[in-house]
Amino acid sequence: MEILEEQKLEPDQNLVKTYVVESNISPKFLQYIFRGLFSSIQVVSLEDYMLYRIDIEDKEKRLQVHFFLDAKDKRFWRVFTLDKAQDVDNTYNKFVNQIKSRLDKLWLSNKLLEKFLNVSFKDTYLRSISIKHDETPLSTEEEKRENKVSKLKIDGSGELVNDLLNIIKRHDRFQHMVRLTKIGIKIAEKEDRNKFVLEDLYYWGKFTVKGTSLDEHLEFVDNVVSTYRNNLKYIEDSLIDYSSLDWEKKIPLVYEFKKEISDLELFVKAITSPKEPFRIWGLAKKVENDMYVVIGTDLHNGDNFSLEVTPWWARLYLPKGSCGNTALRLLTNIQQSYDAKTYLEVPQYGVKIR
Amino acid sequence: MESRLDKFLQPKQGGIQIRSLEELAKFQKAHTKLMNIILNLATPVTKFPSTFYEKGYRIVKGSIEPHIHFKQGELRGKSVTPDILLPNYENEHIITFECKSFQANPEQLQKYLYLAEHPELILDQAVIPFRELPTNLQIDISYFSHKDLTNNSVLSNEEGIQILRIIAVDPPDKSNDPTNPIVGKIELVQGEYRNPELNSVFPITWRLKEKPSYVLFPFDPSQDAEIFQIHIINKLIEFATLGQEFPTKGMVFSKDIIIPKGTTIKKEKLLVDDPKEQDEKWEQLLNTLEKIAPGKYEVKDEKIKILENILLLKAGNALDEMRAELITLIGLDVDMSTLTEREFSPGELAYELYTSGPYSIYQFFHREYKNLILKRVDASLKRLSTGPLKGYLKPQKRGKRVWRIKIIDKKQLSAFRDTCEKAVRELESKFKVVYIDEYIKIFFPPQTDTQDDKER
Repeated sequence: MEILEEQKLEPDQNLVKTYVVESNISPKFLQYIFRGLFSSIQVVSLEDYMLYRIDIEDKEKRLQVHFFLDAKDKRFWRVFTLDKAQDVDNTYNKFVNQIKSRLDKLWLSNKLLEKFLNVSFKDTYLRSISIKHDETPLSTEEEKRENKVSKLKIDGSGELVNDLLNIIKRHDRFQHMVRLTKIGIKIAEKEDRNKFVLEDLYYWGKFTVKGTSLDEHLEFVDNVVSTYRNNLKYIEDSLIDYSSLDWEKKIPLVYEFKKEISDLELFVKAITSPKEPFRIWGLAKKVENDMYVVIGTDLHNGDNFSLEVTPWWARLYLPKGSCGNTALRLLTNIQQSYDAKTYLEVPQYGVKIR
Repeated sequence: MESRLDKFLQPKQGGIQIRSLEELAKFQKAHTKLMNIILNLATPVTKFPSTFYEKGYRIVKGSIEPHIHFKQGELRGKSVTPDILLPNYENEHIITFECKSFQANPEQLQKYLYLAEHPELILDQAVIPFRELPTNLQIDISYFSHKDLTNNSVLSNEEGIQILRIIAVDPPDKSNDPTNPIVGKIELVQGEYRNPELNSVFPITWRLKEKPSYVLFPFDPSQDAEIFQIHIINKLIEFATLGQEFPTKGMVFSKDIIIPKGTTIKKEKLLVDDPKEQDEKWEQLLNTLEKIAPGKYEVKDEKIKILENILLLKAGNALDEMRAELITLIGLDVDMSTLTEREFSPGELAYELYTSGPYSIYQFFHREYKNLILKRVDASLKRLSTGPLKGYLKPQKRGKRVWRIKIIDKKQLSAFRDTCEKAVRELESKFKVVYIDEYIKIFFPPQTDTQDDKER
């Protein structure tokens, strides 16, 4: 049976949603993390190994949400639900964003999302893209008041969206604003075209899906996680070991900005704000006319780091044992609110994450 | 009575007299900036040249401000303290750097020349580590300055040394890349190195978009003081605000924590990450219970039944590691809204700074500076508790050497952060003076004549 893009779902029928959680804890600790967040919460261990059901109720908001949590992959949990998107997104954000929860989302960089516009071993068709760029976090109060903040939002679907993407990516004035935030693709089995899924993948690790093959969906999720895990591994294998006498183990990660920062103080202030999206708590010190040192704490996991920021690049010193997701979150947020072409270099491996 | 500082400020070999603390600070700042540049050149840090590193020179234990003593000859009983020693193990070569902001001292030069002729002093005194003893160790002495020392009467006729000069390229050299011009360079203005490979690396240049690391080498006296304070305050903010979800070591509660009578603890329900740890953790739990509450529980079929209330932690006392682990293991429901303070020792704070921050640079200092961080943490806590963090931070009981910081809930968070930021700014001006005094005490010990060497 063919499922059409516009197919209407029944009133009680919702899309399958999958969220990938980057975790540094055991699911058994969830009861601590959730405590006090909702009126009632139950984490029930199911018969299958590392499979849990989470029932959440928020009486004030008249909300009931059910998740299934598959934690077989210790680092990247899969959370599935059929409940309403808005309720689920709010609930999910609430527990992942809890201060020092040691849980985080996936933070898919621009190129990584673009990579999945094509899955080489499948028949893949591009259905839609969303581009969102919003410089509000890096704007002055005056710019906000006078509505001068640079923003760009494009939602496109159909065959021509790829052409659109290619045109604006090369445009002088728009190239720094082309941040993919969501892609929609159709993936079909090469041998059996009846087995397919329509996937929407968001840059923060959420998937919505409809189709005829759950296996196709799970395979796609695995594929995204595997690419992400590789990037994270490069980062975590090269974190700073301050106690080592070997200087090769003290090489910082580098963010390369492709748009020169004109107001460095404002930039530093914005990226050390405990507010969304950066969620970093830091104190900054000007060390040269065009350089700041930031001593910060990542509010997701409590990890400490130091950052040296210039108008052209930033060096991130993330100590050994820290969660590498901090580096990827900073990258994706800079891409979205400042310069979509910023990339992260892991000098020890010569890897550039774009 | 003449203070140690006054003594320090008197120049022995003529030259410019440093009249005030401000002048001293200025001098020190320029001096340590020179040191930072050399150290950066000897590391593989990105976005700044790594010239010495690429040529095989390494910063090792004892590289920074080592004391070398003379036991024979006319210098017997004296010592010298170079700023930096960079060994190249493969070539059996060492560069000794003396960073100069002011004039050179003839007695010091004499000591360096003696050292260059007697490399065995480095080996005999184990100044730096050697895996294999070199057969033909050679030492070069490099004077490094912002000024042109070739005009200096003490150094200009001395052929056995190298003089390096660092200069700002003004106007910047845009010839190769107008958007990223050359802004600084180091020239070899006098002498030659015994390792010929080095002679061709000069001038070492860097561009506008290349910056040395201020994180790996943060010990400029004024900057360091401030950054050090920021690190401490940042840690205190963390202690006061983060990680309030689980009971952990050091937490103090306003209510007793009790395992109530009738509680049943099942082995299969223990909160462990890895199922393989279940047996080990069960044993650990039984041992802990036996230590803290003998006779108040019974064990049957992999179940523990609590027969009487067990007082785990009295209100107002700090939680230890063993009890904190027990609470997490059995998933005991602790009312985290009764959390009031967090207790820590200066040693714990110093360790945190050492492993998560840049203070590991001190491991490359001479061993006399080992306790530097601890001393400074201690002093900083005292200052903060009576100054800007009064009411938030206090020492716990006399003689116990532990501190407590008040827990800040979400509503007080923003006000507390403002207080901390203000504390950082206030310290910026106040701390400079105090710090220099402290710096002198630690870096210029009065018992040896190394003090003379430091007068530049």
